[in-house]
Amino acid sequence: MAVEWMTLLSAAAVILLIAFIIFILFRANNDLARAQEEGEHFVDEWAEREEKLEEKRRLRKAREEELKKMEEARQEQAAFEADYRGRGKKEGDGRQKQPGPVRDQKADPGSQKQPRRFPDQKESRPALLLLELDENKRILRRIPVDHIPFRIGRSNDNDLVLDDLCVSRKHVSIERSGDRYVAVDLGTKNKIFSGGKLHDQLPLEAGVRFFIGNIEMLVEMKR
Amino acid sequence: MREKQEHTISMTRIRWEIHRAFYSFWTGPLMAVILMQIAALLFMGAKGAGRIYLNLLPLLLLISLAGWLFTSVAHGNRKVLVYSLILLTVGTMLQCIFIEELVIRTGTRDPARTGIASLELQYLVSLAAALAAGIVYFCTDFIARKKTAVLMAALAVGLSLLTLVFSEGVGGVKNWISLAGISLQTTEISKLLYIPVCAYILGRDRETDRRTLAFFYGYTFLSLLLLAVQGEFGTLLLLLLVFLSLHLLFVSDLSWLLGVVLALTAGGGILAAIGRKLTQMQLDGSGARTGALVRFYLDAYSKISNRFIYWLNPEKDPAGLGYQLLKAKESILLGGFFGTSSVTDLPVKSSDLVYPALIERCGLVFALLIFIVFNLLWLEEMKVFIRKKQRYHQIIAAGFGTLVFYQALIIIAGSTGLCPLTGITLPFISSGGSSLLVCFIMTALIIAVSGNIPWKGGMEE
Repeated sequence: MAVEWMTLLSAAAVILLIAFIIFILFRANNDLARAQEEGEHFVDEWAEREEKLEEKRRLRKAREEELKKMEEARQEQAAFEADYRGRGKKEGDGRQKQPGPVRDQKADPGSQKQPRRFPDQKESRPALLLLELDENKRILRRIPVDHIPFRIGRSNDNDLVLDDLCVSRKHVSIERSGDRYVAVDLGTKNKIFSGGKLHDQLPLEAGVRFFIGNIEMLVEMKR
Repeated sequence: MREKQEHTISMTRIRWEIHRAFYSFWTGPLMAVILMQIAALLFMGAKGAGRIYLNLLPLLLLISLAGWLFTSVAHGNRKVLVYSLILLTVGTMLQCIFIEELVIRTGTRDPARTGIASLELQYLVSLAAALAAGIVYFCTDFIARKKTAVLMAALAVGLSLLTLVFSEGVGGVKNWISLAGISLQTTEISKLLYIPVCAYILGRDRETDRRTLAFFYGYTFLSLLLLAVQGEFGTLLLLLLVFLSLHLLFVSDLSWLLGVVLALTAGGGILAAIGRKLTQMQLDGSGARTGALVRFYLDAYSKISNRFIYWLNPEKDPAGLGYQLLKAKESILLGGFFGTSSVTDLPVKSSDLVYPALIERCGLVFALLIFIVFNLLWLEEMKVFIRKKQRYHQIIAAGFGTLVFYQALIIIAGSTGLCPLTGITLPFISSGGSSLLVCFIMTALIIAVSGNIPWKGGMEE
């Protein structure tokens, strides 16, 4: 009797385990897909944080360099003035006037009346960012487009080198058209694939996804 | 060719990674797996092995959490981990039941004698080794370097030779070696090392030239030869299937594969004909004085041919060579749909015949579900192979994926009478420290491969 009860209990437990495994198999799919999407904001958040830190470091370094240059110029100016005053004093004593030292205009930023301004490098840079995506639409890397034209292709002399056989040696050039950016195909076989069509020219706006060969890119505009 | 990426480890980063891994813990699949591991307590209680399972439950939870964190940090495939954890839980349940059956038979609950302590140690060592292997693979291209590949090949061959010299041999098979009181199944290590060595050989270039193929064939032939000499024909069959799969996937010229298949068929036919002739000569008495080589050949031939004879007709020798298969069939029938408590005395139930033992204790439906989980695991591993762009990582994913799947397929089919039975283990479920260690490492490597690895695979600078 006890054996029968135990068999029954074990069969019930087996059914429970089967239900659990089926639940995991079915739900794991949905849960993981959702978690993947939700998890993206963690990845973005970290990347944004790193980018901000990098920007801060870059600005701090630029500011330090600027201050150093100004300090050097100030010291040089002070040295020049001291020398000039010394000579003026000697002239006042009745001696022949000596020509003063020739002022180096380039090395004397004080004479050019340059405004002491924090260097804002964003002005000279295009506000465009390309995000390379993997098969699961996760961000593999962030590529700032730091100058125009920005060339993309398989060969090493491009600004962005893509290691994919479907990418031509010189595939795409990112150029400015008015106040917009445009990806221009450089006469390749596979062209630029976006929205189910092949494009020779593709206007780049925030959120636009396109393929260069097998590599998917997402456009992001810097704030 | 290597892409360098700086890794910064800071407390902020560590906190952030832990937060990212477990932010959806209460609703995610990991929670479901952990609940399943806890629910298994009810089943184990019904089987009388609840206390033993309770000892191992914290370790199972630790493995689940550590595996999840690693997978999350590496951005790896979480489904591979979830399926592996399901299989590991089932394996643990079954091992606990076997231990309880041993306790009832021997009447001792000493952890050292019943094997609980050894099982706990195996789990801890396997987890540590798997994490170490996964992290090393993820962070550096150490494994893909020439020196490492040469070292791994030498280690595999050296271990096989050592085993041949020092192993005592069990059932005509020399695959165990004892080091400081710890038994190690060296064929499992050779099997594990075969894939990265082949990945190095085939992964250097997209086009395989004759020199590459010569190395690939040479290393495979040497590995198979050593396995044949050891009498480990199950692993030999497994490596042969993996070799053919890698050949099909990574050697673009199919005429070479056709040639290999023809050569294997012809070679097998010739070896079988020689074996039949020698056996005939021995029966006639004309080969009474035979050399050691001929005796070895005849032993191997009779071993393999007997597998086929008693697979088709196990009732020919019900107490001898057909005993295992007959008992396996009896267990399957006795198990029914949802298992039974009155179990038969099944030989090698914890290793080779673990699948019939699972059917007997948990039923056909449960065992079928486990087979489906093996298939899903294989599909996920193949997805990793398809999605990876770099050849070295592709070979690692495809190699380990096919290895685990073929191993499961061969032993499940063999133990249920669908093909001749061979002595290999069922991944994650069979007992055996070496097998468990290798399964853990393979899973960790597949998860690492499926993540965003910062180095490019297998290209020498």
